[in-house]
Amino acid sequence: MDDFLEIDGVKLNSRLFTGTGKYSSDELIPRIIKSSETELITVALRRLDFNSTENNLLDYIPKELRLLPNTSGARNAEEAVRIAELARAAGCGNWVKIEVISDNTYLLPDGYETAKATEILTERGFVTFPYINGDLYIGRSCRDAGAAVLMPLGSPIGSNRGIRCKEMISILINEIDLPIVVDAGIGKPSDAAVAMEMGASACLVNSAIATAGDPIRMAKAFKLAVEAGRQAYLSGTGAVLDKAEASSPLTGFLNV
Amino acid sequence: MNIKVNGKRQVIDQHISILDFLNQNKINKDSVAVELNRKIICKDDYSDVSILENDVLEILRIMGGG
Repeated sequence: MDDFLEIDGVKLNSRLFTGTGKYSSDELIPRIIKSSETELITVALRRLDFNSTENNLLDYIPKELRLLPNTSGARNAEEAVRIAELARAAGCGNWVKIEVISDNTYLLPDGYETAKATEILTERGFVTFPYINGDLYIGRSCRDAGAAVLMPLGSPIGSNRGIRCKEMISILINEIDLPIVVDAGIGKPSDAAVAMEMGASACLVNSAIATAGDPIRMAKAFKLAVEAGRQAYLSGTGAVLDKAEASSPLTGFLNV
Repeated sequence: MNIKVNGKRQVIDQHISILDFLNQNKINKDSVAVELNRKIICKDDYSDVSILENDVLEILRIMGGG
């Protein structure tokens, strides 16, 4: 059975999205892409450093991958729109992860400004992926504003704390008919599996791979976990019971 | 001629285009986005748009991010 994720008419076979931040060297990125089998990768946009000798990041990303630039650094909708337009002008295409953050401690997204940016950017022809708290009302606002995907956080960005917002994400999955991609805070492959077992459409993982002892191996571990979680979701997990229910027959015992 | 580039003052030659500026600084035009006085300039227009006195130029590149 074909099981792909379709976004804006594009079919993605991999449900693992990966980021490109925090790597010790950009030269690792092609190996991460190969090992994770990801088909969508996030990037950011920053002022050019005239003294930097770094190569162009895009040289390390195969052309067939979908780019998902983020609007990190934006503190309100207006800045997010500006960054998204610049990313498009830089050659990143029209998919954009909308990140609007003014809180520097927890890096939690500003839902109101995110929904506003979603509306403006959707009207300007972008395919929008708003990064949000697992809040049903914000989720609905973004959906009504034209979002293609919702990206609720599992826990704060880069914290590796796992799916702390499980119940709230579950509500989004149940109530909003858009792909729900769990983003941020996924620390271990088991976290990604939990998200996928719940019915998330995909996971975005960056820090947990980039900061692992062996990022290449960890990328593969995440690929397997996302696939396992997806298969479990499609299979339908068994009921959770309060009491034991024997797996072996309770008759025909030896009479000892 | 004085201009501001990525928040810093710079003195550059007069009558140069955005493409000239990028070439002089060994910047690959395909790897950046350029904003002149808050207006995004399309790559195809880099050679046609001149930089003028007191212009504010922003040059951005793709970086790693999540």
